Amino acid sequence: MTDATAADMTIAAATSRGLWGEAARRFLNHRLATLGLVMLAVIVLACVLAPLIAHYGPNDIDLRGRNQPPGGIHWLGTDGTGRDIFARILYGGRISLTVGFVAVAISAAIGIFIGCVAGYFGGKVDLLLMGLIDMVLTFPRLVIIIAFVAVVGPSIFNTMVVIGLLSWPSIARLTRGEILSLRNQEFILAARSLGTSPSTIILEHILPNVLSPILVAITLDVATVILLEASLSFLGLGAQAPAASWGNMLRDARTLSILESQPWMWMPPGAMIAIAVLSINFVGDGLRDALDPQHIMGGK
Amino acid sequence: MGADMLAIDRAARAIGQQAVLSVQGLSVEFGPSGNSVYAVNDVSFELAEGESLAIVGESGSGKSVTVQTLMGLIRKPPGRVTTGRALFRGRDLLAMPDSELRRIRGRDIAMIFQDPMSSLNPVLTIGLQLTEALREHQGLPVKEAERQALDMLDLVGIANAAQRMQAFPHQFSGGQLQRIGIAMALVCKPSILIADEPTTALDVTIQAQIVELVVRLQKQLGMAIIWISHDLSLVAGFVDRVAVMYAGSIVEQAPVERLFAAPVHPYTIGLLNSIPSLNAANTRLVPIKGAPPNVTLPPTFCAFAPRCEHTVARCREAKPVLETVGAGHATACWRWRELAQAPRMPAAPIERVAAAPASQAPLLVVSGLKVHFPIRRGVLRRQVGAVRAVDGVSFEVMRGETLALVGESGCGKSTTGRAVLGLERPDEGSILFDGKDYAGATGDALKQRRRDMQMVFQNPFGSLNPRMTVGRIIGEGLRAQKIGTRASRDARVSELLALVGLREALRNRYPFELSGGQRQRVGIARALAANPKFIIADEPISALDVSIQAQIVNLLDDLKTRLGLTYLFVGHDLSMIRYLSDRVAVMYLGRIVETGSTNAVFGAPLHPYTRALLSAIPVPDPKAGGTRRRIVLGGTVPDPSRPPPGCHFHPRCPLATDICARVEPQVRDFGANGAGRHLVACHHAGEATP
Repeated sequence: MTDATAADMTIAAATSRGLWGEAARRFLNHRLATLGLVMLAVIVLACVLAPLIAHYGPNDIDLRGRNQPPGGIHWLGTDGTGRDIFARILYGGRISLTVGFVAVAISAAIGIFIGCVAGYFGGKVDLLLMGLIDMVLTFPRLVIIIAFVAVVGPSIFNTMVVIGLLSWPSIARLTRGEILSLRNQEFILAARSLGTSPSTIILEHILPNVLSPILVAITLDVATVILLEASLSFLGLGAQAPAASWGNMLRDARTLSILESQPWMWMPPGAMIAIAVLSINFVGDGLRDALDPQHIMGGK
Repeated sequence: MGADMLAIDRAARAIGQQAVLSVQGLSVEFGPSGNSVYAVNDVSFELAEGESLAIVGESGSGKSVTVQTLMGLIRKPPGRVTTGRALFRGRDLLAMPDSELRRIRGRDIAMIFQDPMSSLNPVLTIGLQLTEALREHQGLPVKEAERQALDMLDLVGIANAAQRMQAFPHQFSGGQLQRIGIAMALVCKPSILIADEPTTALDVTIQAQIVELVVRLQKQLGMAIIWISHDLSLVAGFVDRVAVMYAGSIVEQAPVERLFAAPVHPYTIGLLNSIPSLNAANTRLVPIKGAPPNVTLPPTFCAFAPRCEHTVARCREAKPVLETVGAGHATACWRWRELAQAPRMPAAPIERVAAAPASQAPLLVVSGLKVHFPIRRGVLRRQVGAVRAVDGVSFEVMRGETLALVGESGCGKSTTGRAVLGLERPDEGSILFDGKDYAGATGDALKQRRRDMQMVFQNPFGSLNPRMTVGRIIGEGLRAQKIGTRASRDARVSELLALVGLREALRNRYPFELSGGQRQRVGIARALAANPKFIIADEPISALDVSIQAQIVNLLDDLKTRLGLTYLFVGHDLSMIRYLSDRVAVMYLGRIVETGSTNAVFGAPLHPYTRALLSAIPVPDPKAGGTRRRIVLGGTVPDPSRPPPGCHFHPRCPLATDICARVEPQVRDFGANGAGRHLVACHHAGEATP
């Protein structure tokens, strides 16, 4: 009864807006999520507009100004070869973020597809696909990636693809679980009884209803992949010199003397990784709260 | 007004009886002030020692919140008690500290709940949970507590109680669990038992068992009962007094005979009119118009006014208070005096529109249908058995008639319906529709069948995709069957909205914006989109409020006449089925035990199960309680993966002899000449039940 009344109130509140409008309102009410979204937007914009913001190219060498601390000419200082740290942060962000988004897009596409097929059709198909998922999950991801990159050669493209190809099982699992809980709902039965084809049922009835948790998972995955790319670049397996990425900027700064006396070379990329990951995680949490269908539909 | 009400109560009660509980002017709100849900508004009632009071109302009427407030069970916040007192033997339950209330709760006032499974802790044994209260409240030593718990289990009719003390909740059936819930509530011998819809989740024969048990225990233990229910017919049989609630207020309160014989409030009258009466099957139900009330408006007017036929300006301006009508009878209506003098509405009951007589040509012939669900175990998913959900079912549906498939939960009636539509794959048997066999049809054949045959589902909340608009939901069948163009489909959706009585404006709304009744209308419109001939209605009204049920039943009735439909109606509400159907098939554990015309089956049932089922129907008549003979079945429906040999019903049957345990009874025709067939599968069909 108490739950029902609470749900009634939410429904009354939601009536004047659409479902997504209501979710957007709740998202914007979430202070950290809004902060995360703003920070992420600033970072993405800055990276995209890098040529307009930075006065130097990422690989321009200022021979007279090597190892400069932050100042008026080089805002965040320069590295050992005289490259502008600020410019490298922006251009490196392009690579780090691209890897994050593209790799997750690949893994989400594979994961959602496999999850849908396994969850909706069930039976032997499900058994087979779940077996595949378990198999992929048993691979230590980093080791496989290192081995793969060692074979095909390190490059940004290879990194994205290999991360994408190895990260889908968690999303597939999530999708499958959501679909299993939805598959026996009466509205799915109703759609079947109307003669709706399986593909339409999946696209129109199932996906919109399982999208919220998947969207949250995908968002959080982007953060994980950015960290993964940083680790790979740090190991020298991601972006190749002279191209900058946040990870290989850290790699360049890993001698003891730099760590001790030239913190402007490693602190900015480290901070950017932390800020980007944190922002994305805030956004993910906000989405989770905003999209939780319990808020909108109330319990049964 | 609280005082007024108390005076009535005092006058009504015989001398010497004392109120054990007196609720005065109770109001409860939820949510922040200014944006509140007014759940309970100024509710007052008294409960005498040993009396039983029913509080009846639809969902959202505040009946549960009222008693939960008394028990200190509502969460605060968001709940707030804004006014009122609740005196238990002179002490205010609402003002006392939690620690004191805890001592009263369970010891002096106990409660049983709707869902017995979720009100018991699944990881503790029954014995431990039963003795807990005794040790907590009375400080009894373990041995003594166990002895008393055992006695109580015996009392509520749990066989083999000593052993069952060691069992866990999941090892009991629903009916047994409710008995244990009752035992737990009564173990400290409380003076008040609050029963919050304790039989709503149970089947009708089990419901009869539980009601009988509670009534017997009340006499034995001399406690007072508050029975919360949405079902006027159910409480008619056994309570002393009824309070009818609507939108958080008591609108009428009276001794039970008086409430049924001379109701005054338009809502009470409306409720009684919307229940099909068992003797007048040919008058149309009179539903209460409109939708359930909006409790987010402050209670400054009569909440029933928007749905009432007698509303005048005054009803919208001020909230009526309870006034005395007669001895112990009070109502909150501005116009009850005028209305009581005017002849009772509706003067002449409206005859149901007679449908074209059903032809003798069958539209659907199902024979020997079996649907078994495999039970798989182990890593290799080896099949170790099967749930025989449908185990050899045969029936015919004539063109233009309504055949009702009735039975308790788990009897396979829904599975049968789904198999007919092709949502479940039959293991055996044939399904002839319009002369063509569709059993196991796939692809185009199945698609074609789905133009001719559609389904209306039970749950108006679960059967509509929450992320689709009403218009898309209704048009889905047309899109799936690729019927017409986008424009013609749009036009058809408008037509369908009008057909089921929904405003065109609702087309762009989402399901969560609709009331239960409106959602069910959407479900019906969706089923009718492609002009089917045959509709399978799977319990289409059982999830709706009583006053809305009649609206939907009338709609289904009208559509049948207007569109020449044939219905297969799956249900368990026997009084509605009697009203709706031409013929009835009674199912028990995967088999049909009796089929015949509604009049024959309800008038002269021949199978002992049908008789028990019919005798368990609650009748909306307090006087019938004493004269009607009830056949209360023992035990519960057996596990359908291991049905009893021979006749499936024999372990519970009052007529069973040894042949029943050995030989499956053949179907025999008992129909009188010209009255149609009356098929019964029983060795002892027609013998008098002891």
